[in-house]
Amino acid sequence: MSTTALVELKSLGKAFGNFVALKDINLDIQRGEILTLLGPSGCGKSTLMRIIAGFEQPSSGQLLLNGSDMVALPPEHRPVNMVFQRYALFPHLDVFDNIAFGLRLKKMPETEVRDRVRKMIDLVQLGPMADRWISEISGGQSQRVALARALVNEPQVLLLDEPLAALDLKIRQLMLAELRRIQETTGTTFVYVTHDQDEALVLSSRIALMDHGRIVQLATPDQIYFQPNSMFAARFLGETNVIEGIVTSIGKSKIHVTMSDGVIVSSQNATSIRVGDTVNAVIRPEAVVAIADGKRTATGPNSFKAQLKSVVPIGGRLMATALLPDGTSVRFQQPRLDSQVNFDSGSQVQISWPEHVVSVLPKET
Amino acid sequence: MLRIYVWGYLAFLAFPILIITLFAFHASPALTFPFEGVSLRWFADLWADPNFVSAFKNSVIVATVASILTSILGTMVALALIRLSPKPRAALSFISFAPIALPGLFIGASLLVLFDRLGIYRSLVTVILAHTLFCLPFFVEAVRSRVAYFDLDLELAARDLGATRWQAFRLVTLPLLLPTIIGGAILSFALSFDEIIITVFVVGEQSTLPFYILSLLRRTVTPLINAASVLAIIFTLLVLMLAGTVLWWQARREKSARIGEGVVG
Repeated sequence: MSTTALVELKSLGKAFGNFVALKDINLDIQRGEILTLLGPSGCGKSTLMRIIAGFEQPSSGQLLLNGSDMVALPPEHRPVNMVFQRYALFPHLDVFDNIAFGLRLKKMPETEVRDRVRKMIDLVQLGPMADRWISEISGGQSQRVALARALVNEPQVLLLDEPLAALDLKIRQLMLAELRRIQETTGTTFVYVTHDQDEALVLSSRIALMDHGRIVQLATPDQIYFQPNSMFAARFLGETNVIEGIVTSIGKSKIHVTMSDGVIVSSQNATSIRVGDTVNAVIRPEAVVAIADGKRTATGPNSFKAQLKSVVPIGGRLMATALLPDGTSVRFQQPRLDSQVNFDSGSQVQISWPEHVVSVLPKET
Repeated sequence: MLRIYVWGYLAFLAFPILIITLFAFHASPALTFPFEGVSLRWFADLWADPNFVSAFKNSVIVATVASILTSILGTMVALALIRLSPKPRAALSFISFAPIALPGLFIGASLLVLFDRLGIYRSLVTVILAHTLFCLPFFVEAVRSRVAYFDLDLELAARDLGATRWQAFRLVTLPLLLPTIIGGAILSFALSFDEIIITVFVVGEQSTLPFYILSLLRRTVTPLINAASVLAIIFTLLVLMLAGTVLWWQARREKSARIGEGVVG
């Protein structure tokens, strides 16, 4: 096995008339990984996927598979298969014939076709459905047929275009687990397009976060969640607290941000910020610890006195908002074991967070 | 009350057909009651008339060729409509629909001038061309609604699974559109089979069935007209039934192939 990436996109661009859909995309897709293209609608993720599938031609740049150029290949000759958002199953064929479609086009002997389709039907657990018409199966089952129809061709890359968007929540969670299992069983490289951060965080080996036709951040789900590199990344994935301040020092491993009520310290790497810049310190709500005031006094950085503005118990969790003296609101979330911890609206609390959860980001991006 | 209305409505629709059918079997040439016995003599007379036989044959030829031509051209329009974005699609739909609103007289007269200018002699060929022109808007209108919700991803999916453009069309698009196309073809056949106004302008020496009936009328009111009309009705019904049977048979075949699971691609 070579060490190069399976798919390489090199300074790839795509324009529709005056509209720039993709700009300078550089991306390596590794063998066997689940790479998610995540972003709001219109960010270019679907266009990027359609370029890999061969439905669109890039306006500039290169698209390599196993090191060789793929741009000139029509979709039918690419070792790439796709699961469509609305499945695009053939309504005039039954489940079996849908799955067998690609193999029969390759003129595979019928006995082998049956063999492989049967195995695939077992893999996606559609056993009793093989003879059904497409109109006779549910959304979740359609999803499985679409997966099987693509995977039976043993593609080098499986493209999935928002495959769970049309399913309701319960089935979506089930199918997420199924996708993981099927990916682990087959070892196929998945390129997964979604606008849903939860799907991306659960499923991905790596996430390419996209906005306005660019890849904003390419990292593992953990990195992208805990160390976002931009305000866009921080806001797109999960909820965040944003506290404005001015960088007062950048040390070897620490950044100090001064705001009106004190100093916030981050031990994350500094990215494109300098001393004196107005920045945002970004902290996830679940990283904030709150204790009732008086039990301990606020000392040092990342520790503040605050007044509780609202407290909302959600089953086993507590969602609360506290106001710092200067009026900055900080949302926090903690587990709620029983009703012993009684935070009341209006009461004084002390909130704090560790240094490594603080991301210091340029204010406007 | 509603029931009475529905029966009245149906009677109103069917009454002329009933009368014509009744008198086609009348033993006497009189088109009045009382009824003087049943006979097939008018049908025998018709069959003995070489003009009728050739007119009937011509109509079948014209309607068949015109509906095939219409189906091919119309399917191509439908494929274009599938691919167009909403605005040009609406424009094309409108333009292709417009001839329906034109009086047949106008189309006939302009075709007459056109064929004359081009030096094309009037014959069954000109009738076929005129009927194709006449049927096409109806065909497009009939398939338009089906085309409006055709999922283009189906073609992409076929391509993605290894089909060339042509294979994607043959294995996916065409089978999905086929029932609609057949429906449009039957409609075109029926429209062409009894078209008269445009035909009058472009017909040559070879007559069509409606034209023959019209020419009978010009001499005297003869019971032959009734018999010819009844034959036309029966023939049209037969065509419709045949098409229905074909469709039904096709659905059945797909079903049994599915059960047998032995479809070879």
